[in-house]
Amino acid sequence: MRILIVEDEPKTAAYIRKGLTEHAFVVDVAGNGLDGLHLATSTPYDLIVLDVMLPGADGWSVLRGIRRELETPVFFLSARDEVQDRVKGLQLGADDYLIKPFAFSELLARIQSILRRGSGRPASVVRIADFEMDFTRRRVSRAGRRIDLSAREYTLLDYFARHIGQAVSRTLIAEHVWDMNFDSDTNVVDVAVRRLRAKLDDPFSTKLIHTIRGVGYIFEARD
Amino acid sequence: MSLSMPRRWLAALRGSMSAQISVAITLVSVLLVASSNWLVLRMTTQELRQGSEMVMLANIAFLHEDLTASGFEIESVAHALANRIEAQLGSLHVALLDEQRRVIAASDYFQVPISALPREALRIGDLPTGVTHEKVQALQRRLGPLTTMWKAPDGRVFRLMLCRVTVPEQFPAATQGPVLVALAFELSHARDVVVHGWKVLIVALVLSAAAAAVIGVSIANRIVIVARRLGTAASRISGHALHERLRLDRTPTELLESGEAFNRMLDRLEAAFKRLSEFSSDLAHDLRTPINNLLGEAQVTLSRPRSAEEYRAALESAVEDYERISRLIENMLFLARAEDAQASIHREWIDLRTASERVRDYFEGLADERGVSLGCELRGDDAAHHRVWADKTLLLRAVSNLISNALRYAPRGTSVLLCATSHEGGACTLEVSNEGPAIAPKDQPRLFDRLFRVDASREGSGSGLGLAIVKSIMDLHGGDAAVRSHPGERTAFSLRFPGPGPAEA
Repeated sequence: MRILIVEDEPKTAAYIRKGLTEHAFVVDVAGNGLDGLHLATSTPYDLIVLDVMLPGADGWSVLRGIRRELETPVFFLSARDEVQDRVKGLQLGADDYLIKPFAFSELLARIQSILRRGSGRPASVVRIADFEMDFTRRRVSRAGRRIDLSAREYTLLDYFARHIGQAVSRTLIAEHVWDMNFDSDTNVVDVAVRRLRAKLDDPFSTKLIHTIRGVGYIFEARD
Repeated sequence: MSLSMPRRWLAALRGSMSAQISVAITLVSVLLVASSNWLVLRMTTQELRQGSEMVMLANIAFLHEDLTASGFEIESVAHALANRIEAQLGSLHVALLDEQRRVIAASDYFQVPISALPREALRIGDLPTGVTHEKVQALQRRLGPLTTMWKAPDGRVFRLMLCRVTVPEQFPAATQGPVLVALAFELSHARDVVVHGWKVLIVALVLSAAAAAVIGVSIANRIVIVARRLGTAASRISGHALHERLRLDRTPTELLESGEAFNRMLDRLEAAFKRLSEFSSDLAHDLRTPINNLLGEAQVTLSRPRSAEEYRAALESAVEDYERISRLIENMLFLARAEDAQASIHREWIDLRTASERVRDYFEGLADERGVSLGCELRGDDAAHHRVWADKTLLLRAVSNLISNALRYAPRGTSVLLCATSHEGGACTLEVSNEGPAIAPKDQPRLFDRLFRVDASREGSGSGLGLAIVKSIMDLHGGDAAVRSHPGERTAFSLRFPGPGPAEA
């Protein structure tokens, strides 16, 4: 998977590149709009991450230039949390956006979800270690024993199961599980995860939900 | 490039209110004095003139009678007749002339040169019998002025009248043609009155103009002085001296209101300024703590080589501080943007049942953990549609802030209630209440201030901006946020959403 980052702030570009490279992406960086547009139209990328505020040509014109020729998914970063900005970006054909400053885990999760979007329907059953989740029959079991979950716990686990091995932030969880898209300063998410763990992990030796301090949670089998 | 004087004055006049007022008052008073005086003088002059003309006409009539009685023996009686009139009325001098204006006889003090006499003579036949004001006026209207003025070299002034007397056929003198009677009436005394009158008028004018100017300036100054005081007070006021107020004693009632409004504005500014300075120091403090932590931890970590585990722990701890700072900045930005008048908010009808379910659903786990029950209740006159006219995201954010606050303070085993009341016309009140210790009355007004914490030492749990954000969300909606807290009662925060305006519904 090859990703282009168009970002003029060197530190930001450097850590995004580093983070994505560690997640097995091939990453190119362009420091201004014109180089970005040139690279985007001359090299095949799977996804382009585009800053709106750029020297040379701003993100909007780069986006227009890309959309004139290509269907490559574009993800834009905006320092301005203005509704008009977001709407404008999406109207110009961007696929998603993030407001700066953002958590890297968030960026990664969103990039992965965009890239997965085109890869057909998700599997109807997920298995890791002794855990099994059947999306169509809404059944969850470990070591063959069925686990009863409340509606909310099921939704949360559903989100984890679709992001196995990916760090997900509390903000992302609040957004996807409760549709609460603002930081409400509470540890609602922690409480929910704690309850899910009590049913899913506590009785078993292999733990599936792990806290990554400072980032959020990750769902994967660890002894 | 200096302006010419008059133009400069005009410009000054245009710019100065007191100058305009005093000039106006002066003009009006001068006009009044001048016109009234002029009227009086004119009437006096008229009276005098008519008086003298009546005297002259009456005497001509007497003379005519005497001449007729003497059978027009002009040569022999003229001098005596003229002198008799002069003797009776010292200021009236008489001369009789022939057709060629040669003097036949004149009273002793008749000094008018013949050339000064009026060119046109009245005719004795035109003169009325019996002299009255009305008859004289009628005569003037018919013939024009009956007399002319003449100034003697010694400065005395005479009114002159010339009248042609035809000699009746039956007298021998008829052959010598008509006689001209010339009368000179000395006006000195009467004129003095008039001239003096003009002097009085001029003095009165000067005095009244001066008085009016003084009065005008003082009135205008009283008006302007308050405005000036406003100005000087305003120029003294700065961020350091916002306690200055206008002194409103001796202020005219018309300006009292402006002065009071100005002072009230200063009250508001001072309060806002005070809040702002407190806020910025609080903010600095709130930022300093996590940044000091970060700096300290990083420096300690770097001071010697460490294991990967230790580095990791340092970074993890740093991320928590960064999140705290970034949350603070996020909220600050939200507040700053909300200050921006009517930042774009997108209002719609939101179903209260759905919204409160959502909020409850979100907080239920947390409430359970704390052993607090979370209830929702819908009331209202408008039971058909429990709904609120609001921006969905902002509404959820405000209610969430209130509920997370309530959960923080509710003792274990009690309940937190969200109660929504919809009113006729689309307005709506949302109330979040909890049991627990009451908030001190002195703290209540400040609860919605930024970074205000009831317990100043309490760090952590909240950003200190939650309620400020609630308030700014309500401001954006044109509603308001209030708190009610008394010992022994539930503490309740309420949000009042006004319905849609006529333009929006």
